[in-house]
Amino acid sequence: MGRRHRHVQYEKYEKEENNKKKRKRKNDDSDSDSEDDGDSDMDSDVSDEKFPTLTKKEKKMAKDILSRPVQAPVMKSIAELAREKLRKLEQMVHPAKPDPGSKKIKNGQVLKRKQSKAKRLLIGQIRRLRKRLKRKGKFDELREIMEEEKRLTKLEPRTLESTREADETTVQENDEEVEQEEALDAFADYYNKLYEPRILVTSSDNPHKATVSFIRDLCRIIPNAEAKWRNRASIKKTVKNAKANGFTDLIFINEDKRMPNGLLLIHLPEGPTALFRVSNTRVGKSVAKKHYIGDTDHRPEVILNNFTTRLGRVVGRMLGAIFHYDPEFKGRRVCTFHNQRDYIFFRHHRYEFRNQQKVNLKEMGPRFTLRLQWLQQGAFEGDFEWNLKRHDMETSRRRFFL
Amino acid sequence: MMGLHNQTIKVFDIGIKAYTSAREIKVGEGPIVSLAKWNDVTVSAVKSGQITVWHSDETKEINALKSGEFLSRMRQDHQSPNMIATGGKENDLQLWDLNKPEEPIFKAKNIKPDMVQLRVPVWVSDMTFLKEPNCIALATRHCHVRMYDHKRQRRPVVNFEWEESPFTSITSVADKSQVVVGTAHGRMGCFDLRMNKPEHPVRIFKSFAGAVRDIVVHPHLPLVFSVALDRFLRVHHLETGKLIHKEYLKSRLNCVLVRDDFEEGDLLPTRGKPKRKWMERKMEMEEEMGYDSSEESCEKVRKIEDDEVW
Repeated sequence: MGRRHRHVQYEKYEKEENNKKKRKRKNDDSDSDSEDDGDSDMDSDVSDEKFPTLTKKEKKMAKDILSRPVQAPVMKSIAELAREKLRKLEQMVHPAKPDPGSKKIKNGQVLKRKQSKAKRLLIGQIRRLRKRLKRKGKFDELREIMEEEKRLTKLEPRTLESTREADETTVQENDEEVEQEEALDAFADYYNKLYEPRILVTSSDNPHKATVSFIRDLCRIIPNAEAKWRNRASIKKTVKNAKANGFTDLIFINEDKRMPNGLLLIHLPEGPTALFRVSNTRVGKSVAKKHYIGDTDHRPEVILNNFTTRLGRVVGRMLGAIFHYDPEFKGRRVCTFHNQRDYIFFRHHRYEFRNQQKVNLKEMGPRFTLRLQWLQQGAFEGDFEWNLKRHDMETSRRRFFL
Repeated sequence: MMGLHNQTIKVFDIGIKAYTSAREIKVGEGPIVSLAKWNDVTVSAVKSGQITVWHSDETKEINALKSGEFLSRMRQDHQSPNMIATGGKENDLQLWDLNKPEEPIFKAKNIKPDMVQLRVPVWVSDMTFLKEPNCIALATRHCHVRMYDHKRQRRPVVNFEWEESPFTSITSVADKSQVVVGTAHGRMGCFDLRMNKPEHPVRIFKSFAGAVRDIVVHPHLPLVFSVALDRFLRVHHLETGKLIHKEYLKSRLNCVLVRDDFEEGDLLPTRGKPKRKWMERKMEMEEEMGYDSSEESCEKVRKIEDDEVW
């Protein structure tokens, strides 16, 4: 038994020797000296007196081991270790199946799927390394590692927006057909800067305080807007007369229970008509109580956020065409129409850039939310391009149209 | 063959997938409203009322708009192709024989004034010839559906209202006295005109968001193809009313034609891509021509062509 064992050891040793010989052939000079030295060393280190039981071969083996330079273990810094592990983690995140493990939706509950064990271990290791860095006080590296870690491990929060049902009608970038259609539609003239919009704002008969202040706010923020009393005029007749007088858009604010609740936007020369349901209106003065800036003449910029579908694009264009096409950036005013889950939030701010990254925003002007009820081709007549049918369309919580 | 808003007639060949010819006609004012084919001769109807038969040597003209504001539709009877029906705003149904272009064969009479003794306004949006001889069904933008029998009486035989939304299109179901009607608010219903109470729809088809622009019922399969302003083509099952197929086609759709030899197997979702490429090629060609392509009216040729859009 022992003998066999010894033979095995020798075999191993022989293999090593052969490898060494090969290596020696490659690196000629360096090893020959050590060999010579080794011989003398052998006598001193592995001499017969100290180790009488070793055979010659064994002595040679021992000599080799002793003569090998002691490799000091490479001390990697904590940050380097962490970086290596992060790289490993990155490879583990399969690009086609991004991890957030939330597959099952049972009875409204969301069940989380477990991440793979290896991945969990890795994440734990990285976290511990990060903590060690913090303890050591190496904050730059800590920040770096933290960012990477966040990027790889932070799951996208599951919200209604992130799990929105994919809409077929989402407009892709560089869509030729959409561009061609937009070059010919009712707002092409506006976006080619061929005319300045002129708005007429009015309400239903006998408006109350909230509606009147809403109209006043609208006229204040929209450049070139006029307010008029309704005086029991019919919409169709108003459309005809407004066209004759050179208005480009009409806004009718509808009132219910002493509050504004509807906004009918008619684009005049044969343009589309949209009815929005208005809610949550806040008057300018109440929003900007401490820093009410008052009337400014500078034309605002317009931001249209998140109008992704084809219908949303049409609506976004329509809303953008109310404001003048040339904003005065000097005035640092911005009006935002932010679409989220089919509700369009309107905000009006004055901005100031402190540096490249940070902006100060001061809210001024009214706040309101709009929801599109229908969109009609033609100025208050004609076929409906889109009609909200709540019973048919509001079937899924994750389905949005704008 | 398709007629365009700017008074051009174009022919598109599906086999080649390209336009083969285009022709401008300058008749009256307004866009081309309908097209028809008779004895290999094109018949075109313009919004201002002129219906012209384009013979090779001379053109015969029928002025279909002796009264009323404008013409909205002209339809040809498939069983006797020399008969056409016209209707418009304040211009009630008129039946013409293309051989005798001077006088209409049949001129409809308005129904009796309503409860308050006011004349009921008329705005014909679409009509269709029924399988029964001499019968024409009509849909108006004042929410009426009417059936006329031109051998019997000048007033409509059947007249009812449905919903408060103006009707935009009507088609007959083959071999039955049923019609499918579409509204401007996005509803579509199937009515039986011979029943006791025709105003109760036999079936309602749902899932539209926009106005229904054109409807085609397949001659032998129980399928209804409809095209709406919300940029979707939909195929419903006639008997059950369920939506079988829905396809996003990027433009506001106006017309649809269905091939005679269309089978159910043709409705594959993968078809979307080749269709779209074809549409894009179309758009390119249109760009060359340089006209307002967002609205076109098209013709329903008895044989073929194509199940699309425009």
